[in-house]
Amino acid sequence: MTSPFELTCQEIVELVTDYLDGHLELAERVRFEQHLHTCAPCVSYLEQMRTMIGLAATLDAPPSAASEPPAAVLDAFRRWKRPGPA
Amino acid sequence: VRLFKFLAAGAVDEPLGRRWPVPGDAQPGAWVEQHASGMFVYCASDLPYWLHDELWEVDVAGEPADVGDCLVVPRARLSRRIELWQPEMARRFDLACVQHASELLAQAEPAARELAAGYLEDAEYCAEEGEVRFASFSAAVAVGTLAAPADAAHAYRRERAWQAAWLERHVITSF
Repeated sequence: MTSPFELTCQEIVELVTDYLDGHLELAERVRFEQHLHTCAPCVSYLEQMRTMIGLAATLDAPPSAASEPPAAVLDAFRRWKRPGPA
Repeated sequence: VRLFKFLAAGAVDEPLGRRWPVPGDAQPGAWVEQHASGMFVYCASDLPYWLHDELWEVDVAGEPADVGDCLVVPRARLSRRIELWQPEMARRFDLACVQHASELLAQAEPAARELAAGYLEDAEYCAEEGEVRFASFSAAVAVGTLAAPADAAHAYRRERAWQAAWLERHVITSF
């Protein structure tokens, strides 16, 4: 539920990625940053998210979903749940 | 119009996750224009919503847009620190906020006072602990809850306006 006074911590958690992506409307950004001025835990949370996103950006790209999986994986998948000997 | 910026100790802007360049050798700090949608700066009437460790006066470049509770400008820089805003002044401000909210509570109907009293206790506790941002916030929320639900936000903002007037009188005008 929205507080008549300021954003709640739960709302901050819901909005944090939009905030970091710069996608919040200005009025929402004002309320978001106002909340940070009265809530040290949310400042920490924002900093953790910022750090995590920064670290994720340094990782190598994962294998493309379109690339062929290794043969051993395909073989194991084909045998998965196949009825075995009684 | 004089414009301001509250920052964490060391001129740190916590939402932006960076430190603002501070003035030196009688020169203002370097311009900051990090956020795509603009930098937030405050009029005196906005100050209670943004309380923090350090209060700075700022120069701005570009046309300010009023978005409610702050102005948005393309660029801003720190011009000088308001040295009157120190822990002792913050404590005086806290105590004034608590005192004012207490007076309003004392005038209210007993039924309306019950919820507000809890917030006022929070404000008193935070004032004792030196948590300036939380004490004034809780005091304003206490006053807001005295009003009918439909008028709560208005009453809260009216109390914030009283707090802004206090800051203007004791911190801004005197500096």
